[in-house]
Amino acid sequence: MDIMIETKDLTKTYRSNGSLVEAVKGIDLTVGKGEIFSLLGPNGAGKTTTISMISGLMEPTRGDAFIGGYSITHQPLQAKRLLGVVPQEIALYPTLNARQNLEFFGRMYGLSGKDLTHRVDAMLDFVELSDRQFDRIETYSGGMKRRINIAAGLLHDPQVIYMDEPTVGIDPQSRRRILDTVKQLREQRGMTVLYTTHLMEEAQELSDRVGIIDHGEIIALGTPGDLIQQVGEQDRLIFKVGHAVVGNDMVEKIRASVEGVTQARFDPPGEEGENKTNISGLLIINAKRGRKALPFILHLVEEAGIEIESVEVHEPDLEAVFLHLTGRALRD
Amino acid sequence: MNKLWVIAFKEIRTRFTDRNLLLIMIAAPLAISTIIGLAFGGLGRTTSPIRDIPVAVINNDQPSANGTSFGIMLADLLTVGQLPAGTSSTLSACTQHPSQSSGGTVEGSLTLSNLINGISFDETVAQGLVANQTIAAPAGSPDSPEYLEAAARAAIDKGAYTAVVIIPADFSAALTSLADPRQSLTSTSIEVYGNAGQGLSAGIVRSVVDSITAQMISGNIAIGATMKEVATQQPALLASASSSDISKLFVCAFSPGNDLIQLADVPVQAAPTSVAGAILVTFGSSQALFFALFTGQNGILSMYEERKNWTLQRILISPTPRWAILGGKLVGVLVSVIFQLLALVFALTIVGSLIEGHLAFIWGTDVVRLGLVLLAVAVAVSGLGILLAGVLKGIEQANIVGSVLNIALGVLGGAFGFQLPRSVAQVSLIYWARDAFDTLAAGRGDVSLNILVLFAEGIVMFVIGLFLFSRRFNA
Repeated sequence: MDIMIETKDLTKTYRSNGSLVEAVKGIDLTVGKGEIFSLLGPNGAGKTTTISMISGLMEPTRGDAFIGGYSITHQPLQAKRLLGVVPQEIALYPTLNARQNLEFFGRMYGLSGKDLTHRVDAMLDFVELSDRQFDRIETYSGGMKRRINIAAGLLHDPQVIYMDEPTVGIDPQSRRRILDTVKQLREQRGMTVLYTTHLMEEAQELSDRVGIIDHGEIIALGTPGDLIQQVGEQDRLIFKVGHAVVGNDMVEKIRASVEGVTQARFDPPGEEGENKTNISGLLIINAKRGRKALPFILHLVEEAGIEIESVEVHEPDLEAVFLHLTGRALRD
Repeated sequence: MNKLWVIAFKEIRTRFTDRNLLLIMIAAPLAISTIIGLAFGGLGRTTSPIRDIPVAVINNDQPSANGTSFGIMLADLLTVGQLPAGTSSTLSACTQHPSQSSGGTVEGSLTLSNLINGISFDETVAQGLVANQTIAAPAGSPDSPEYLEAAARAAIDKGAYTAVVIIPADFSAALTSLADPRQSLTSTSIEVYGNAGQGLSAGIVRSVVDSITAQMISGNIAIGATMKEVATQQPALLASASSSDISKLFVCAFSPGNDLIQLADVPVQAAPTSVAGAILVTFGSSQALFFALFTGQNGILSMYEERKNWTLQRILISPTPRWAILGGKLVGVLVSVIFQLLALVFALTIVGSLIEGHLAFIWGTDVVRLGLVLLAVAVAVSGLGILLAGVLKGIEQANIVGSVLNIALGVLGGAFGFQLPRSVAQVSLIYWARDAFDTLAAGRGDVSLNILVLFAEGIVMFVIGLFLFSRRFNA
């Protein structure tokens, strides 16, 4: 398989409050041609810094990154020609219309004349917004802006596309359309996709391989199936307990006494994290053969006088892998 | 290089398609200037509410050796609006320009000297004011110059006059020395005391006195040059010339319609001498410059905004050299500021013409110099913008400091309707630009120093700012 993205000892250190901080610690990574690779990591893990160095926005302190064999530090213009970027932000000029935006960014990649016109037309067709091309971006819906944002990244027909959470803040229908677009890019154009997301189901659906980064290091790398295997095919049980408080002794008792339980923790109400509603406390338990462990856990909890509002059983997925490896939810 | 122009074009396009920005760039200064122009100029009126400004004129001048009294000429121009009766008869000896009015009376369209209602402030007037208790009796003898000057100043304080013009005793002697190569040069000064509470009116008085005396001085210099030439070529002819011959020459130099020098018809030469025009130029240029400061700064500082919105990163990720990105931004800002100023110049010309009821070139007719001033202003404003971008950290800090700085420059430069002493005002680039616009509007073409200062300020700030900003930009 041809390698499209390669990093060698990619390192970034910077000075903060007088001391040196190593944000990225010598990452070695390869992504093959036509591969969809998702880079996952909690905030502050070093994901953005890594991507910034790969795309030439930031100079590495040590090491190098290569796009299609071109060094981003020594041959930046050649490397950048092969790379398209779809940032998380709507990186468009709101007072210009869609066509003017695409023409501008096309020119930044050296397109001009008929070639530019043809590519802009093709991209507007691709994201199905030809009929709105002369409307100002500021008049578009969130989903439409995201689609033009993608079109701007694909305009110069890059071999590698980096997409940073392209589905943030849009409705399910638009999200579905974008995910289908990503698949099309790989299947129809053989494009290499470097993808970051906070939504594990997206990563699981799209990715050929996933890299999990934490504290500036790749801590897990492989296909979603491989990674799930790594955590031992554990189920995740989530007990919603309202305003009740599950003490550490109770959590420890569950972990120690129930067969198959490997991890247990309590998220009190009002805390951010997996407890999205912030109303109920959550008792979260990872267990092999979770369904078998469920009645024993229920017994212990009820015995302690804690009223359970609901129970969810999650089969193993990337979310569990991430939690297992980092001890944090992806949104933490 | 091509990408630099693409970025510059984008910059201009985004700027001029942003309605909010257009509001700040053009609509706000235009509206403020128009309101002030209408308030002081009067829509559709040929007369101005600012007229008959009460001015006390104290003439201490002693006639020169040949009997000529320039003090009387100046005093009469200020008080009765025409040259002294004795000199009128001699005007027929001078060549008349067919397009200009005859005689010494100031006629025709509204001119700045029409605005003044000068009163010869003598002992009688002073004692009248004391008698009706308008002022307290000054110390000293009523027939002494000191008494008169003190009484006039007291009358200004009481609001009886807007200004007092004191013509010095050696006024004629000084002017004569300019024209007669046989005499050594002497200098003198006319004192104009203004009421601080009536800055605009006092300013007009100063302008009138300044323009008339400038006319006298330039006339005498011209005659002096001629006489010097005569003295060199034909010394015998000069020796035989009587004082009255020279005196006649002097009179011709100030006569309206004379080809050499024009005084009465055009006290502020070739200028759109209407009040509305003058006010529109002064306030319009001040407001245009004040808002141009914001345009220049916002243009450069929008780099921070682009970084926040990720459009800058999107460009940086493309195969575009950083110098082209920075250069494009700067060219875009420069052109935007010029467009903004040009739009205001055109718009205010239309407003001025509407107020006057005819096409009025309120900015003067020297298009080349006007263009140079606009370019110099754009360079200075952009230079300040990039200096701020280089020195300040982040858009929030830049917005606050930039606004405070702009207001300070506006205050110093006279953008808010009041003038600070010139030595203080000169700190502000607004002063230099406004002064250049006023000078061009008044038909006096020498704005070289203004242009030089603006270019120099702009280039120095530009170089320092570019160095600092590039360092941060590449970090």
